[in-house]
Amino acid sequence: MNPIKAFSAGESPGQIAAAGALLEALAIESGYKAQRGLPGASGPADVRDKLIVQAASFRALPGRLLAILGANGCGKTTLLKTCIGLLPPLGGRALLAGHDLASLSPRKRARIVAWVPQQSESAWSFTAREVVSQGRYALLGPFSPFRSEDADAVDNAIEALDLRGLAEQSFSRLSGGEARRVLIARALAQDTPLMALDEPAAHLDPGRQMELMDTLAALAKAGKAVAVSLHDVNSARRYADDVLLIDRQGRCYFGPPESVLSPERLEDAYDTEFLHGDHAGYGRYVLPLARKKKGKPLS
Amino acid sequence: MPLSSRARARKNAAAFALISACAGLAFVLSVGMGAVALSPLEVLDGLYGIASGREAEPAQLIVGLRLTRALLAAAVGASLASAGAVLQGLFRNPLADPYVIGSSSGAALGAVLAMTFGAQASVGGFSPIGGAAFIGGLGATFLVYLIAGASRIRSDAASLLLAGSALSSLISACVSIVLALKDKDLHQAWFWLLGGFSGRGLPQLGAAAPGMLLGFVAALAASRVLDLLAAGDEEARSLGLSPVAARLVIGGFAALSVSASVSVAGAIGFVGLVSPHLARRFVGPAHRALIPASAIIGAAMLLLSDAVSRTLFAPVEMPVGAVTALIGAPFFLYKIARRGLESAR
Repeated sequence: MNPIKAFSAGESPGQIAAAGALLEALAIESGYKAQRGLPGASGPADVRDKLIVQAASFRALPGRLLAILGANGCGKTTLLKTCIGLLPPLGGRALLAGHDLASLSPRKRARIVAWVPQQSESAWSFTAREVVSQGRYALLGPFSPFRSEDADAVDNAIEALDLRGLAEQSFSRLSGGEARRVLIARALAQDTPLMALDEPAAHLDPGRQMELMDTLAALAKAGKAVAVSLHDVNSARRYADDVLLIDRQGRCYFGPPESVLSPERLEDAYDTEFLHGDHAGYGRYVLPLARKKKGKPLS
Repeated sequence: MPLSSRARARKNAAAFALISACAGLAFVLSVGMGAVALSPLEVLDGLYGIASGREAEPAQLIVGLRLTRALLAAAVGASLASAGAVLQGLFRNPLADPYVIGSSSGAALGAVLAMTFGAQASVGGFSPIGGAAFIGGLGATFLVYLIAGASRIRSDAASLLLAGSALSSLISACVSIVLALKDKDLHQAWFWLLGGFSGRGLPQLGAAAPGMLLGFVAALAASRVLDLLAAGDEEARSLGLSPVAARLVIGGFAALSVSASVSVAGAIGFVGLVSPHLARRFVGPAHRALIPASAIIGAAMLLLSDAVSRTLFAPVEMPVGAVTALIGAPFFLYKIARRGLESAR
């Protein structure tokens, strides 16, 4: 049986409805709203909505790690942001823990999903601990006092990401990898059932990448739903329970890694020929072999 | 609680003790300076005398006369400085100050217009000129929000900042034109454009206090939200905040306290810009400590500036805004030259 399905806009979104999903994207379309003019109106490019990902349907389940893969610029980040309510969808809809995204207030949404951006640039130099503490806002709101359980949650998050030695340092002076750990700790302190991360492994050395993926896998194992956009196909194959592959036309394939990441589909999605290997210790892996002629550009 | 944050709390407590002591010293010095100079001990003795209801002696009478003016200067300084800290946080910009949302210049225009139309009478601390300044300040801020909100990106920090500074220039031009047409009021108009406490005291303080107090309490209440806004709108949203609504509400309260200040003391620049920078040095960027620290430093700065404006060329009194600019602008230029804008954060 082949569980992979390429969902097209015409298909009923209800087909993949599942109980317990923390994020359920139903034929969601992401991209950028036109700056002016009517949405979807025809005309010159700057007055049209720029659709990047078409009709993506997938779900993030508790205890599972979902990897979102695709070439640079295919819309991984845009799709992820759209699904958690940071960008307006151009079509379709997304459910967060069963609630329609549009019906959730920012605070209610932030109690379901924590977002880990690739980087964070604060206007002021807060300490790492102060940044992590901000994760508690969704639970506290603007006025209620910081309780001891909030301090505990912050401490635990700092502990979990091995940041004890960095907690009182200025966040803006941390290295890229350290800053990312602080942002994950902030998301952990937010104490949500779903965590979405935007290419957290980017710019990390192989050792740190592995460390990070181990951390994410542990979070998933502990019961969280983890949705993460990745560049490394091998990481996805090794760590992910589910994969969403976006190809260069903005089409999406969702399913378990071994079936979604087939040689043909990888070659097509990245426009690159891969060498496929199998190592006794590591398992199956791919290496880029040759860049194919660039296909016709998007849109 | 982990040791490290206890250590931070101790450090902040020490910083607050230090700046409070400085502000206290500034208060005593400011009351002591004038045509009849009093030593700090005489000032303290006079203050004690007033507090205990002792029979008045000459020094005590002088202290009594200068006290209300000093209180007003401290309140206006605290109010402008805490509003400055709020606005810098709101716009994620170390260059933001009460002029940015148009409230300073709007208040000046309101005052000048009221003067031009001959409103002079006053009831208690409430004068029509002060009222017009108050309305002008709030009105200008409202207009800034309206203009920035009309753009598709809706009241984001950058469009508010741009709309605010453009509108401020426009309003300043209007003020100049009004003054050119009514040059007999020029001297009084000066007061509104550059600020001062000449002839102001308890009644004016009483009139402005509710607005200032409300603004300050709101600023403190907004400190957690301001911390969140520092990372930008998208991240603030992901953490559970509605940045546009937050900016509207918090900016409104900041405009309230600025307008209340300007309605009694004119448009005094640089206190709101410089004080938060100094405060960040002492207590760090977290707004819960930054806002009160800014208020204390702003009070000290305006107390000293007022003392200088009264005494430097006595009996001629200089506009206090000129003194704050003389102190504040070089400080700011020095900071920029020394470590670039990055350090201003």
